[in-house]
Amino acid sequence: MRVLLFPTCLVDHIKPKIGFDTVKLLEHFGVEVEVPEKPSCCGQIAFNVGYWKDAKEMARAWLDVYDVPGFDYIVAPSGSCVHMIRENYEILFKDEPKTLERVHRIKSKLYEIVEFLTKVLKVKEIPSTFSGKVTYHASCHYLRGLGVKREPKEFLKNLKNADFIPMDLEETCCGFGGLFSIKFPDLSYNMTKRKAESIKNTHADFVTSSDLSCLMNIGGVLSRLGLKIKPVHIVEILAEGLEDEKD
Amino acid sequence: MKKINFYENARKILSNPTVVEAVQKATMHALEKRRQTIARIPDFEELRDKARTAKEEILRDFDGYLEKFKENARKNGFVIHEAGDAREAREIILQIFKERNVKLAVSSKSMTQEEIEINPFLEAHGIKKYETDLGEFIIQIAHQKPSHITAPAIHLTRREIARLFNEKLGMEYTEEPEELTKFARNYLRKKYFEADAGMSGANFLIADTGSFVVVENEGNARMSTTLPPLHVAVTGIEKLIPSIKDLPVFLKILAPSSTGQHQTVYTNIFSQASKDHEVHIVLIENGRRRMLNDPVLREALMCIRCGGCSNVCPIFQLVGGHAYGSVYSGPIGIIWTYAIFGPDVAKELPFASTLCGACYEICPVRINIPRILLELRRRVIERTGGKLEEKALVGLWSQLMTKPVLNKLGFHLASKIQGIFKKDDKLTHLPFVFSNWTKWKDIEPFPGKSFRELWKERKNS
Amino acid sequence: MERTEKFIEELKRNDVEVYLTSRSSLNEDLNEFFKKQGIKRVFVRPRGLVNQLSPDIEFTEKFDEDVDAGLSEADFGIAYSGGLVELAESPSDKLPSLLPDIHIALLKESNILDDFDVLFENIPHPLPDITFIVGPSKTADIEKILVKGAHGPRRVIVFIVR
Repeated sequence: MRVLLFPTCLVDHIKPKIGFDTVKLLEHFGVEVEVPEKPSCCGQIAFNVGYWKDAKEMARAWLDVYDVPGFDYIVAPSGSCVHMIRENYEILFKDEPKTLERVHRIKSKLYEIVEFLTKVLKVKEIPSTFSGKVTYHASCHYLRGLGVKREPKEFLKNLKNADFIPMDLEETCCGFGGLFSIKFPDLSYNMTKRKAESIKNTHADFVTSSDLSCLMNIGGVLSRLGLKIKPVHIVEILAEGLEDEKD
Repeated sequence: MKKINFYENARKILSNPTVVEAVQKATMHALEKRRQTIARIPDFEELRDKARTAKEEILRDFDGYLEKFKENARKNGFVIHEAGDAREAREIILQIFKERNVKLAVSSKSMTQEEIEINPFLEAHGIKKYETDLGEFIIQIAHQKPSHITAPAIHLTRREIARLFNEKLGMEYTEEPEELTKFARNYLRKKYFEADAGMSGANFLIADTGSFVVVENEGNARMSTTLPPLHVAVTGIEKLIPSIKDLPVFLKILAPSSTGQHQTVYTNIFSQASKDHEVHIVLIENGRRRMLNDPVLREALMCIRCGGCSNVCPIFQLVGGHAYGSVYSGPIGIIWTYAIFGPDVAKELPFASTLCGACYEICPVRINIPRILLELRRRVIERTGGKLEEKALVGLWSQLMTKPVLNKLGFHLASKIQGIFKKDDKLTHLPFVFSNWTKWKDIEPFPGKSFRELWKERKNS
Repeated sequence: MERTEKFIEELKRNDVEVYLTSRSSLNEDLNEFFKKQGIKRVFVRPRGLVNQLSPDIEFTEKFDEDVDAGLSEADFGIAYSGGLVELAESPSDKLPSLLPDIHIALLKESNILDDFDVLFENIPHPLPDITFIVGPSKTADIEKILVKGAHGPRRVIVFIVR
């Protein structure tokens, strides 16, 4: 099985480790992974604030990179980016039948990593360990957009040694919202602070999620508040204790 | 109406911890009650589907159902008035009152009445109108606007209300809700009997029987619509449902979604009028037809005004309804405000959401609010071109993401110069628009190389 | 009967006081209730069961400040919501269940319906005004604190007549 990895623009430029950990997970389950040479972004950042022309440009470039033969699936370590492509490209290209065809073709092959592991590879459990107390933030587009609720938490619960502690505001938005956080910083901060308090109340060492964007946002406030809770992407946790295939 | 400065309003409210706390407490309370109540309604999801289907049926043949309603309502003896906009509605109501020499009116809670700003207009024409819903009564004597479509006074604490009753109504100071309520009860009791007219809104207009429905908890709507010899109901034309047989479905979803109650205390279904008890219905269009003809906005006409989306919205939970600067607040309120008061007034509002989708998830008639907000954002940017710095930012990102050479150069440069903004290995004071981020939040520095570059190196090693 | 049990369960959940009685002992039970509660003057809707009573106290068809309670026969009960249904031919029909501090409703057990649907399917047209009453009048407009007796009755009492 061959997978083309969509690292997402954020992971690509801000936290490459998440990309490698995604590869590690996929390779562990016998998947052959390839990464495109060209950079790409799903275009959500522009789409969500109304700049559909720019969004279209990015989306078209994304399709050029990923709508290529030779791969069974496209996998990304982000619920939000997958949601953008799966749900919003059809809105964006509703007047372009040719592009829509490409969107439909690619939609059926595109998965978020945990979704891919559970739905396509039918993985029930990650045979790995992780030491520490972990709490989980359900990213909005992953939870309500893609409808993935249970699976990531099941993975976390079943990790050896991991201590999973749910937070009370698990399903409440962290206040990122893309450019929302730049447009309305005071509001965004107050939303994130509420989230941070909910995280703090779990006494967890780590907060994890399917999306780096949320984690950057939450982590930014945790750091500013001087809290030592570490934001880590879910693949970092799941891959941590796996034997490296290359070794 | 002037442009609504959502962010400015929101910041002002954020600086008032009492309001933030009061709103948060009230919204979380309603959500928790909703959760408990829905657990007792096993077919709640099917009921939502059925309600949605009934509202879709209305949109399919809107004019047909409206005609049917008017015809049947007239058969019931109701006098039907139609107002194209708020001004017309006010004139119609004034006319009805003048003809009957109305000097004093009592009214139950109606957002549509707030929408047409009837109170100051009547006041200017020498007609005193009392709000009788406790929350609305409090708002009225405080000279404020409702901060929630179903719980208008949630932003006020009992201390503030106590002070208000003491100063404005001469009540002996007490913070006991029981005592305050009793005082309002006695104060308004007299008014019901003295009033020349009673007013209400309507939650549902039933096409096949020409009836209309008002739900409430306090009994003030019953009083207002029963004791005075004249009842004037003011309602938007979108409140239609096809048949009285559809009513159970709506009654079963409305209260749980709204206050979290299983049912409201009183459901009043009006189907009768007489010489001694006239009933007039003022049907208000005010932008609704524009919504109907708009392929994206029309879905918002299904709204049953439960306020659930406000309760669950993480932004509303922080700042409450006043930030939205309109009678219609919260996520669905953004759409209504845009539709009724126009894109110039409401151009900032569609952005007042993280598109987290909690509103869509909770909406009893499954209105895809984030989808509509996205479309409104597109329209605003198309009309205004967008803010310069934001436009530049989006444009730059688009270039970086679609031009590999620029991409490499750009991020390389960024990783080189970021040192001057660093403190303790975190970026803490970025320039330009990014300062909006670092004002409140730290950020990790850029790594020197992208994942793709590192991947390539690993493959080649 | 299962329906009655469900109805009673919901009534209680709605803070309604429930008494079970029969046709033959209704009069006695009510008089007993009036006595116990110190109710001396009752504002009535003179219809159905109410007309068949022989009260020890004063019944009046006019409301005033000296009225202790309101009395009416509810036309139906809805088991789904624990709601009382009152059909009104005129606005004055609605007042005994609204104006006094205490509302006492009589309800024939045979008039308890499972759900709203049954009511709307069987109701004659043209429709009368219909009021559903689910417990005492209440408000939570001040800091979400529940207060009973906002504008209407503080207490609702139902006598189910078997």
